Amino acid sequence: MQDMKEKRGFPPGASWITVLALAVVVVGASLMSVYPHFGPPVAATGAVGAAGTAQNQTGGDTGGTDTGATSGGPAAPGAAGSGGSQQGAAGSTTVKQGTSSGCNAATNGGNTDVGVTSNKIVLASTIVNSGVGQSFLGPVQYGMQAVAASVNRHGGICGRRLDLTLVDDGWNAETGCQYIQNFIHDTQAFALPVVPSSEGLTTCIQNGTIHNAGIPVIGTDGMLEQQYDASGAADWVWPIATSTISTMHIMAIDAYKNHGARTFCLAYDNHYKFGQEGQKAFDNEVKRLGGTEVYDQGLDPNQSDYSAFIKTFNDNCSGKADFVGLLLTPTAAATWLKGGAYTAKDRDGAAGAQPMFTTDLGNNCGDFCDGVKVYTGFRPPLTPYSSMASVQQYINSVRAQSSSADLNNQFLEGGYDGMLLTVAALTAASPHLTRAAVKAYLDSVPFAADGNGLTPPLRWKTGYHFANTSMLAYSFVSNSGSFQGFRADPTGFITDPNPNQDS
Amino acid sequence: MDIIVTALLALPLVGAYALFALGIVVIFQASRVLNLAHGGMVIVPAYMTYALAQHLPLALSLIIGVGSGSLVGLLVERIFIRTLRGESMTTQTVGTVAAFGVILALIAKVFGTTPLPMPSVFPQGFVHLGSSGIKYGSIGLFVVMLVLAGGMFALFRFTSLGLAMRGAAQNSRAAQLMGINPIRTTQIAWVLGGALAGVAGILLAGVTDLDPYNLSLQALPAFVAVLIGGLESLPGAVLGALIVGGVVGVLPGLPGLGSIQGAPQLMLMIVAFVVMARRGQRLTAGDLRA
Repeated sequence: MQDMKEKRGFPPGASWITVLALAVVVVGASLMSVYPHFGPPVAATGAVGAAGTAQNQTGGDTGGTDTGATSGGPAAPGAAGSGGSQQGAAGSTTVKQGTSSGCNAATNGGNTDVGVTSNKIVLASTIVNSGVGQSFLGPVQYGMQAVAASVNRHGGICGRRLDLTLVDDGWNAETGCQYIQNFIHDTQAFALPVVPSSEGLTTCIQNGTIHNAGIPVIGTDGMLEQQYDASGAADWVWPIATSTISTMHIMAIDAYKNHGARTFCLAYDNHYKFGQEGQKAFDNEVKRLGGTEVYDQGLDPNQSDYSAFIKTFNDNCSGKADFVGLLLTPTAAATWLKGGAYTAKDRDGAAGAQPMFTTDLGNNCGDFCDGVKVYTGFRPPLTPYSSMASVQQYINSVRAQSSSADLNNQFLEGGYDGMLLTVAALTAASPHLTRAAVKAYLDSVPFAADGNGLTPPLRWKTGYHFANTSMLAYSFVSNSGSFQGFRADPTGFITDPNPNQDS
Repeated sequence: MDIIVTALLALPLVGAYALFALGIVVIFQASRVLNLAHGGMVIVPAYMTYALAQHLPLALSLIIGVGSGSLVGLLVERIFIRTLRGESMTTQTVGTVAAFGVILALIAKVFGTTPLPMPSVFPQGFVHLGSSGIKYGSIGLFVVMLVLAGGMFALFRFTSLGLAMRGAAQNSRAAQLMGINPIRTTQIAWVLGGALAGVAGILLAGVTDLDPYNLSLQALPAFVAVLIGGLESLPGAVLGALIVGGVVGVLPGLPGLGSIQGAPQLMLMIVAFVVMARRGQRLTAGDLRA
């Protein structure tokens, strides 16, 4: 009896404490590699990137048709920095060293701003290496590291190497914003490139963290509307991606004008912000076009079974909707489509937003995804763009970082493109690098005069940061349950006529 | 008619939750440990089967996969339970949390977190129910659950092994005096629990996706089912799974409730509280009578 009392007593005996301590250590150690909050930062290494040359591809995308696959325009110089002479940085992962005085580590001015020294520029970003968003946002880091590694391999920007810190926030809004605040106050980062983890960035934009810190957030690929509010809290944010709002506008326009759809159904993510704002944009665009929104179904991306939702959706949409829009994460989209959700295959079909543009989804979804369209704001490494020099450069650079990353993942390409913009801006503002100089450059100079080759020409200006407003459509092709690849839609780039409507 | 179809569509959830719950109850019946590592034990056999099926026939992969579930059960018992045998059941339960973290981390490291297409044990295709349909794999999952539930019930109710397992858990010293090795019976329970987790994981991944997070988290509603049905009752586990699967699967199909985020989870919590509160009252009354 006495023994029993001792065993069950409180405070626990020494063995109890040992057990609990062991459990905490084991759980903590295991969570280190699974959950983002405890994970160590992933620093960009100086791995050798593919050497590149300045690319000058003509985008030429006007009137909704892509003409930029092979036509080469006149060579356009990259932006010249104040007192520097770097050229071609915008269209390449290679930064050529200037020859003017001041553009080297000894005479570049040293500590010209927060996070800048004579030999390095501190950059930091949250990434998504765990959770629901990992399946499509996870590979973005390879695109970012590819550009940083190549710049460092060539001596940096005016003698300053890029010191890139990447931290996984699991696509969690609160965690992500906390990390960004840490980057600003503790890491003392000069700028935040790409920031693929959109939830945390959006929170930090909304609560004024970015605006108040005056820290440049360059080349974002998160697509949320708050990133485009250049006259307000996002005046320090320069997105490279076509926004979710524009994506949904284009999806409706494409279905209505190019396929004749008049009745629409939508399945959207009702957990994350992109789904909620995309639903509103899609419904409004359908109304503007004169179509009819038949039914919208919100879905929680964390569920493994949508049977009841699919039944309700099919009851409302099957045989009634000409077109089905899908604004879902790849995992949710696979579960939805494999569960037998209506896709209007015998009418005008179904289409998904950029998160669904991944090879993994094609492999996982098989015949259920056959014929489903997916949109991207970047020229993917697929026919007819795969032979373009800038696309080849993207392929080679990323492959040098990761032999297995899905190059068709459009967030990866966006991350690469966003990092190119970062390098272009840093180069232009060097050697006397300041945040103000970066902002002045980005608000006035287009990202290469004729586009960087991966997107149509982009231009940001004060009060208006909707630079990329076009999208390409591809379709999943599957045969006998096996994913065969993507097929290009003949319409080429389709432009959103009202990018800042519904925001 | 609509509600019947919606209820039929919830059968796969009921089947999956019941299989998870059966494994939890089998382990608890024989070792008095609430196995919070069950979600982790679900994913190892599923990933093992997936990996083997790339090179071996599916049937063989399936057998080895379920076997790996048993092995994981045995390892968890050996590493995290037996070493804590001298401590309280609460301590041993904490040990299973550690096991869950380790398993999840290892699987995520080895296979990544991108969802993978799991080969289905059952033929592809649907049985059409109005505008919707139920997969053959989902029907198979439910049928397998019924068979295994019957088998487990018979094992514990009618065999000397089942009696020995229950006896050793209730009074280890008395069981030893009767010639029963309590360590062996506990091991057998963990092997059985691991195999049940393996079957559940393989079949569920076959009708959804193979994803370490989502798949392991599907065991959570099974704990609610076990709490509703009682930790020591196999029929109770199935009944609990029926309630939980019904709430999670049917509620979203009801008019007005489908669009409310979190409605099934809220309802589940209310049901669990009500059932547990009522059970507590009955136990108190029983104690008073005794």
